[in-house]
Amino acid sequence: MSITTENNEKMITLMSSDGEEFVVEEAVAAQSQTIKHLIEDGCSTEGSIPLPNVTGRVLSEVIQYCKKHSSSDDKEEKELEAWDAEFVKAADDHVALTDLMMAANFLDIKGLLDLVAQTLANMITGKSPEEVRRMWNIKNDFTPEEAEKVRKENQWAFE
Amino acid sequence: MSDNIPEDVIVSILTKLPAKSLLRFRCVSKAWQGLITSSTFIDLHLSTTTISNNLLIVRRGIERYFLYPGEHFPQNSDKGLHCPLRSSYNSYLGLQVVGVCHGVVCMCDEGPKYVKVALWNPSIRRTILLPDPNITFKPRGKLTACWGFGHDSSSNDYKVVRLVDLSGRDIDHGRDPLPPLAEVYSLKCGRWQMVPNDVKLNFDSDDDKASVCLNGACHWLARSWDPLNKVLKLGRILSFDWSGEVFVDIPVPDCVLSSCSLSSVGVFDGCLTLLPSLIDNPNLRRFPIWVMKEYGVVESWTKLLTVDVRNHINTELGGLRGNGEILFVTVPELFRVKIFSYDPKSKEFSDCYSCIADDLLYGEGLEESLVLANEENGVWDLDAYASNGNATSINRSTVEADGEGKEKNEEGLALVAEIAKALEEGASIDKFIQHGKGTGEKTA
Repeated sequence: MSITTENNEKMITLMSSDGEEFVVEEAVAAQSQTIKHLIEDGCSTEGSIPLPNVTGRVLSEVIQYCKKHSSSDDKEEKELEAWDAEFVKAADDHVALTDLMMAANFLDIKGLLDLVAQTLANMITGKSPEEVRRMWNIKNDFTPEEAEKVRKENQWAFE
Repeated sequence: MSDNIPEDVIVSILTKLPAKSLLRFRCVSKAWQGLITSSTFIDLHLSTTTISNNLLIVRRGIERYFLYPGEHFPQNSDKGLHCPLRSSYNSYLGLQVVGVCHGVVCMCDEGPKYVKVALWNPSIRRTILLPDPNITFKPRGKLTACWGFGHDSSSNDYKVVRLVDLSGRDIDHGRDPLPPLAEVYSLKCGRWQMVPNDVKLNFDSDDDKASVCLNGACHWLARSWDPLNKVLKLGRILSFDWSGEVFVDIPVPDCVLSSCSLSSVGVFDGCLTLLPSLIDNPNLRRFPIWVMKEYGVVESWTKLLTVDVRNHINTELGGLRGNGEILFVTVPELFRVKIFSYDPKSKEFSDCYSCIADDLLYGEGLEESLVLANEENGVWDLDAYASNGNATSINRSTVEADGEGKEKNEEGLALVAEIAKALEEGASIDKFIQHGKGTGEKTA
């Protein structure tokens, strides 16, 4: 469904995977290339846009980011950077950040994707392979001999 | 990958990591190992890398290298590490840094009976020793070899070019000098191939060797033949286009040439630059730095700045840094080398580095990259290699020439053998020079 506000802003409704509805300005939602294309294809005219990969909790964060970034001009770059830093800090841990990253990837929001990717990268830079596996439930499919061989090639990177 | 995280999400995170972390994360899983050393990922990581402008310093004599990240020279170096090539006792052209490109350093060393060339990525500590070039014979008389290293963006390939100049011999025999013989190594093909060169520019001394890459081409300061005085006169630029593999002669205007003697080419502020020779201008104290504002336009040469070297005697211009500083090198006493930098904005010199060495080599603008990580013939980490009881010099990989181009190369090899034989017999080499597609002199 598509509503128009007093400011003549077109509104659209997004629906999360757990059925939560969010009414946002089209310009805000269109920062997501995925949503932009859905709007262009006429998906917004018949009720809400379903986003089956994104939960309500994550979607509300994404909308927060998009609102901030659509209202800011380039001249406020410094302020925006500070806001971004606070925003990822609030996401707290790697689980929440990974959820946010997957949503940004699905919704195709480049700025958010870069921001969260950099935050996660900073988080893992100094970590060991074991710690990284634990973070994302990655199965170690090397035999001990294979692992030792790869490790030995770059022993210095573990020091 | 992880059970629930798509690969492109992982890729977005990993492209933002430094090389050292990525080498460690090859141990996470087989999928991560495959991803990190895939050529697609290596290219993507290179295009997003933000760590650049590292300065590499190789102390000659002891062959340890020191890597200075970003703007932190002279502080914050890694501890000294092994260098893939060491200068041999009988090296007559000397160990040199040919060039730096996408985090890879090309080094070479030439002696009377050998030529060693290595591609080396210090940020992942991986080295590839290249096979022997085609031209390995030792001619009688003087030989000058010039080298270049760069990236051919049209084929996404790394190439090394080698020019072998026999003009000294020609002049000794009263003949007009012929263009240098040229050969190119392609990392993708894994072999050297002769390339035609009919640009009549030559090289004279070892000082002519330095090359610089800009605009998809490699450049050297070269000499043209003055038939009246029978000498090679400095003052042209020879360029070699990496993708088209053609040589071009770029003239240098008289106003530049008359201002002072030149030593080499460089890149400053994104422009091709001519560096003055301090040693060749002993009475001069103020040295102009000329840049070609618009690439390829001879009229656009501009005097960018003048450096007043004051009382810094016995000094040579070392190199130009990406941050706008100019490095000068001096040898105050035997086995001690000193570097100081000049800031064109404040016009101030600062002493910044002093060490025990025969000489120093540098590579400037070194990025962090994974390039070479997926090259099969490479060797990881020479320091570990050495501590495991191996000699620090690695074995040369033999690469078979195959498929397309084999015929052309065999032709080249046959030509080289023929030239070698003829030269031993004292013949002139002009009849062997191929007149290929070289475009000759470039007019502005």
